[in-house]
Amino acid sequence: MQDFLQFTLTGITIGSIYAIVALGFVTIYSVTKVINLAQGEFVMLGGLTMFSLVSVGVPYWLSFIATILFVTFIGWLMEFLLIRRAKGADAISLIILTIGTSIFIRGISSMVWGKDQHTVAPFMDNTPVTIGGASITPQSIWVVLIMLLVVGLMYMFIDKTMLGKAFQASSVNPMAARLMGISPKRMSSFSFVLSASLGAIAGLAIAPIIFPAYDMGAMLGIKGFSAAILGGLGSAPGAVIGGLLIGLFESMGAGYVSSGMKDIITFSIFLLILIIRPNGILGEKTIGKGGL
Amino acid sequence: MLQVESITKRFGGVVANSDVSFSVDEGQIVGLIGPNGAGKSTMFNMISSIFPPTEGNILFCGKRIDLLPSYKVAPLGISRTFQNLQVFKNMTVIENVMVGQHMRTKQNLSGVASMLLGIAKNERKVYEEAMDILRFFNLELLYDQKASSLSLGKLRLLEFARAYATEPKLLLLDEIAAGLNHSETSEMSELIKRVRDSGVTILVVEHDMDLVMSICDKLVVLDQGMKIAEGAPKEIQANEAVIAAYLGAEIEEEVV
Amino acid sequence: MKLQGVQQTKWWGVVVFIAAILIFPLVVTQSFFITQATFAGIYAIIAIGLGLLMGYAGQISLGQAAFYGVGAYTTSILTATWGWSPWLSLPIALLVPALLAFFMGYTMSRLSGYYLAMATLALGIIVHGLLVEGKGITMGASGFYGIPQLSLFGMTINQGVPYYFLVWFFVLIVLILSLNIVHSRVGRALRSIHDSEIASSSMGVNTGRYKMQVFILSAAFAGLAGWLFAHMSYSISPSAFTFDASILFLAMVVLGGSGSVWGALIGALLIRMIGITVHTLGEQFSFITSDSEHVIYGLILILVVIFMPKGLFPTVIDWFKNTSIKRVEKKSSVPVTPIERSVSE
Ligand SMILES: Nc1ncnc2c1ncn2[C@@H]1O[C@H](COP(=O)(O)OP(=O)(O)O)[C@@H](O)[C@H]1O
Ligand SMILES: [Mg+2]
Repeated sequence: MQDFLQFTLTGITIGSIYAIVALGFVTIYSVTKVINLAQGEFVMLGGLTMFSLVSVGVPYWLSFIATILFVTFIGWLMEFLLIRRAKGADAISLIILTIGTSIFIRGISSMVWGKDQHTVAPFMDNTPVTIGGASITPQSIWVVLIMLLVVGLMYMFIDKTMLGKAFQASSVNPMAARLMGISPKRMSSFSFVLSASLGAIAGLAIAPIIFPAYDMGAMLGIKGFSAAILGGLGSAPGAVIGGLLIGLFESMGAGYVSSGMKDIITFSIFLLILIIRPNGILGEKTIGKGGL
Repeated sequence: MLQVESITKRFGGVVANSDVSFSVDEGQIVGLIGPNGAGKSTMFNMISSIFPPTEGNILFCGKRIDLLPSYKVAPLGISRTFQNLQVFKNMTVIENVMVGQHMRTKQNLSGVASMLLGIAKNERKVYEEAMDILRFFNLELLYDQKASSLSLGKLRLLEFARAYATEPKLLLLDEIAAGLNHSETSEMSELIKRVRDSGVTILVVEHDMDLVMSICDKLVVLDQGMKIAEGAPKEIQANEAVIAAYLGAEIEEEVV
Repeated sequence: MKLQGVQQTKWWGVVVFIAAILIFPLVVTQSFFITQATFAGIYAIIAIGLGLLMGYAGQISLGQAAFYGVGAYTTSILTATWGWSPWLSLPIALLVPALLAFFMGYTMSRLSGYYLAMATLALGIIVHGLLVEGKGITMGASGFYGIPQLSLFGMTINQGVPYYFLVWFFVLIVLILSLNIVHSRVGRALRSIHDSEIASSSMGVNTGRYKMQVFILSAAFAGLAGWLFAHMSYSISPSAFTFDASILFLAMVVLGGSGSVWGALIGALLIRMIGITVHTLGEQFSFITSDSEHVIYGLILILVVIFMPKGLFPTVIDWFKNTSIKRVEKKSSVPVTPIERSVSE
């Protein structure tokens, strides 16, 4: 029982990160129909930029803000330089484009930061606390809190602000949104900016826990993508559920079987769920109008 | 030949067809008409099994077809064209028609073996048949052009030719003359009659009333998903519900 | 028999290809390059299969390395552990990945697009994980060793020129088979799916079945490559069958051109050449590392998608056609009809 609680806590922590990454996927996908497989690299950049800034002596809070701004800028740049130019390309080409970007960013990062893992100081004193026999570090609590905060803010933003409404409109009905004067270009750009900042936040939050390295983005991206698919691509609540589930499968797999088996278990369950529910957990089965 | 029995189709809240029934007899040209959004294309999509109806049955030659996957409908003898042109644009004109012949040129095991040697023995025959079909549709001069380079009028003809190449018993033509000029439209109505004379039953959706009135043996009128009239062209022209529906639609369009 | 206006196999291309295979070892004799050319052939087999899947079935696989690995490990286990003859294990090494693909395709038949991409990606991770974790059978991360060499008529086929010819002989078979498939009615049907799946199925084309068949074929090709790879090397390890390898195969196809069998082949050769060049330069200049290789692959993917979406081979062919048409236009003073001009667009 104590083990179970411990694995659950670990699962929720890591799952929160997947959830944020998955939200990033959904944000971009719902507006641009692009699957951004470079999403994980935003997280990596977040962690490593934070590391660099802190290690050259920039105050913690300033590094925090600067990191978010920097990664957000990269996201904007990616949309501006690449995605925009490939508009009209088919789904496969767009996936390949983001894979290319991801490999590129990773390669550059390994030149900049080397191949080592880096240590980033936690937000505050990180002595574990025990809850019902399971221990959890304050940083993990922060991760979960940040995830909740992000979800809350996203909800407020989409539901309560004009920009959010415009955003929602262009994902539900791009044509109508355009007629209402919402620029699809601006929305596409904005979705990358938003999604990159989500990635940066995830990277900042998790950096003290997982010792960031240049290659952490790939797996995070893949798991975030799985989470988004599992939840039903395009559904924000689905992304959060998907992320938490993937995190739980993973920590249970690692805890009860072995850490070598955790990915095998996670992805096997993932495939099983897809077989049973091909459109994900919260995905609606929609027949695309297909232009008919 | 074709029986549509109490078909209802809902897309979420939108009712595209509501309790529609009609039938098409062999050798006829039947027109399915109605204002935009009346549910005509939706009906075509159900007859060609692109999606199933929410309620009701569709029978073809006495056999239920509404639950079949769409690729199984063509072999029974139903083929169609698309309102928003679905030509294979990266293929040549003749290749488009050859895809139409696809299911009639089954390859057996020896065919698979010949893959390795590259002796596709039926190819020549298929090719010449395709050329005949192109001649029938006056497309023979364009045979080696990429479909994407064709004009709209030729594209409509190509869709027609490709559908005809499946050797259908029933052919569904969705707004086959949309966007065509006057002479192209009259050429099209001649073609439709010639195809009918070659033994194909035709169900046609068309907004050009001259065309519809001149070639159809029977008309079915839909409005907002419901069937509001059925009968010979003459009767339909005089039908008040039909006139109201069309006038209503026109007024709406003017307002918008 | 030439059928104007229909895509057909150009046999002179195949002849040139065979000549190139035969001449290469005469011109280039360093064993390093022969070995690299042999590897390139192995990759070409995978790339051709993946090219069929992407260019003709319109599907993307992010886990092709899984089928490659399954093929390699199947034959390794059968021959080294169970003592089978490698020739006997060849059909099994094709069959097992093919069955895996069938099973995937069957259970996931409702999946398409992004979902299939993710499913194949997951398969790749699972297979790689199992190769590492299944220590009792696969010998784990350190690798499987003791794989027997191939022999034919009592003579072993050694690494070097003999193995080079063996591999390229198989490339030739795969190439001809693929060319003939894409130029048959099946190929036409597949191309039509790419343009309009709805129209295709309305013509009676069982689109799902063809997609599945191509997926299975691409897996079998990858299995064949795995078999060749295993018997070329004395030992193999899971590190050759990672996500990165799948991406490398993807890059080959994208660079060469996915809608073209020749394109995939050329893409495989080019990517291999880039890899060798970076390695060689890396020995001279310390700032060029294996990371540079990745940066370059990333750049290739980006640049090709943006500037040359069809890939290198089809773009070059189009360019040739255009310039030759223009030359004809210049020579003949006869005015060009609009129809003729539209070809060159
Ligand atoms: N796939 C679909 N999903 C949702 N709504 C649809 C779909 N297809 C058609 N509709 C709706 O059904 C109604 C009828 O459309 P349609 O059959 O295309 O009309 P018509 O061809 O008579 O102009 C329209 O309101 C249209 O928006
Ligand atoms: Mg319509």
